[in-house]
Amino acid sequence: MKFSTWEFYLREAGRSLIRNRFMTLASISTVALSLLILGVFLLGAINLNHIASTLESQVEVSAYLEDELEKEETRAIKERVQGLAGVREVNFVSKEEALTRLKEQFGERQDLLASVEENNPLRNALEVRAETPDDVKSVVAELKKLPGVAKVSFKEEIIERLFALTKAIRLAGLAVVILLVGATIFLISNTIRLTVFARRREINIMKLVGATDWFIRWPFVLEGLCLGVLGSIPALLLVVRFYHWLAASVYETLPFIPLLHPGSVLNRLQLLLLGIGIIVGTLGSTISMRRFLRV
Amino acid sequence: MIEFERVTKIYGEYTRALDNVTIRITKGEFVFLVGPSGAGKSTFARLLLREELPTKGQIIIDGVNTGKLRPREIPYLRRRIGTVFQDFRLLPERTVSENVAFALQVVEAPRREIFRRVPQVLHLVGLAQKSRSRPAELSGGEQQRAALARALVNNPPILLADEPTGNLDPETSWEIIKLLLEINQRGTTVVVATHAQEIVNKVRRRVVELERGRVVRDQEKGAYGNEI
Repeated sequence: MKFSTWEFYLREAGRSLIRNRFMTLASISTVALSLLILGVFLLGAINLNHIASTLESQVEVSAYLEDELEKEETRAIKERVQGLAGVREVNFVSKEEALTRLKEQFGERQDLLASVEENNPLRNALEVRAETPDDVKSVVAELKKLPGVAKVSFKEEIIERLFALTKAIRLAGLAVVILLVGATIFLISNTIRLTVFARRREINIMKLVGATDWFIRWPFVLEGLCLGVLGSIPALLLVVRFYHWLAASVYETLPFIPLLHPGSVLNRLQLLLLGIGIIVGTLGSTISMRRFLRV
Repeated sequence: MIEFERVTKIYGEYTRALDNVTIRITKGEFVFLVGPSGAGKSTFARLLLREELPTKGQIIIDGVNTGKLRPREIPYLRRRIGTVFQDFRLLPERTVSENVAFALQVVEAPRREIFRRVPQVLHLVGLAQKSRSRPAELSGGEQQRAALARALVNNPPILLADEPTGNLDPETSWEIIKLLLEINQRGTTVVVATHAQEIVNKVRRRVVELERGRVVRDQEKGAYGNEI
């Protein structure tokens, strides 16, 4: 395509953006608002996801050992467990330690445990931490096969719940994204429709003198694209500022929350929002052309 | 150049806008298409421009059967037919030369070509002095000349004028018709749909008369009525 043709498209698109400045402004604001909400939501989702997997990886598996094991045998088992794939950390907890912990949990009602103190019914155990949550199940299976291991338990329920939560977050995120993107596309297509209407005379003449359909469409596509890009810029700036502020205050006041570092998420997030802006703008104008511009 | 072969166009269920019409127009001819409003002149124009397809029959323009054109080929057919209308259809916020250049821009003509052709064609229609005026600053006749310049700038082999003098006084009308005849002299096939009697009678060119969608007369050097 020729340079002068692109110049023509751009001039036409610019002309109508300025001519319908009120609708232009309204569309840009909508795009900005939608992308802002989307961005904040995505940040929330990414972080919750991150927190969930951090928690998941902290889930412990306990392997209870048989009573009559010698110290040497116990050490050997510990070493084997350490060598298993997906294991990050192994701690030996003697039955005495286990009883002490139990007492602590009972607090003031320690007297209830008095009867077991003589004859400790608890077992020596290995506390195992998995590398990632996905490793937990395979580690459990491996542990069960080991000789000297009497019983393996892990807090399956918690893991299931965390998985469910993560899944729910992802689903809710998807729903919000679809809704917002849908609303934005609708608004942009309405704006372009107004432009098409305002320019019906020109379109008619273009058809008459033999402009191709795509020649007629391009200025509108560019117009939609501009709306998308112009809307995504303020959204980007606000999301970035918001997250920097949030991260700074969380690190200061709630340091135990494993919030993702701004540098590691924002670049990709900005690209994503800009991309969504572009897609939404183009799609909005394409839809309105299908419906209102029978060329 | 233009062949309508047994063309019938039915709108809705009963309205026969054209009824078994056969018209052949050869290259370089000048033809008046006359008849009362509703006779089918506008339908003829719409079919010629392939804005619509005939219900029956076929239309062949410059060897191309319009019924067999793919949608994306239609614009290229329209580039071969310049059109002028009663209401001029100029873009009000553009100057005369911008309006004319517009027709070249949208067919992606090179810039050099635009700079060369626009003054040329404005000179041809006698509007060289008004190239920087906007349509609102022009008289009706001047606006129609501008529209004519736009129709011709692309060098189409066919010129279709639908009631070109409908909004003009007799004197201005006559100037436009003289211009159309001059364009015809240069080799363009010209079809003028009109019901301006005096003009048709004065010019004495081929007249095709439509009535309720049928050709009721096709006469060389004809007049508007049947008074010969």
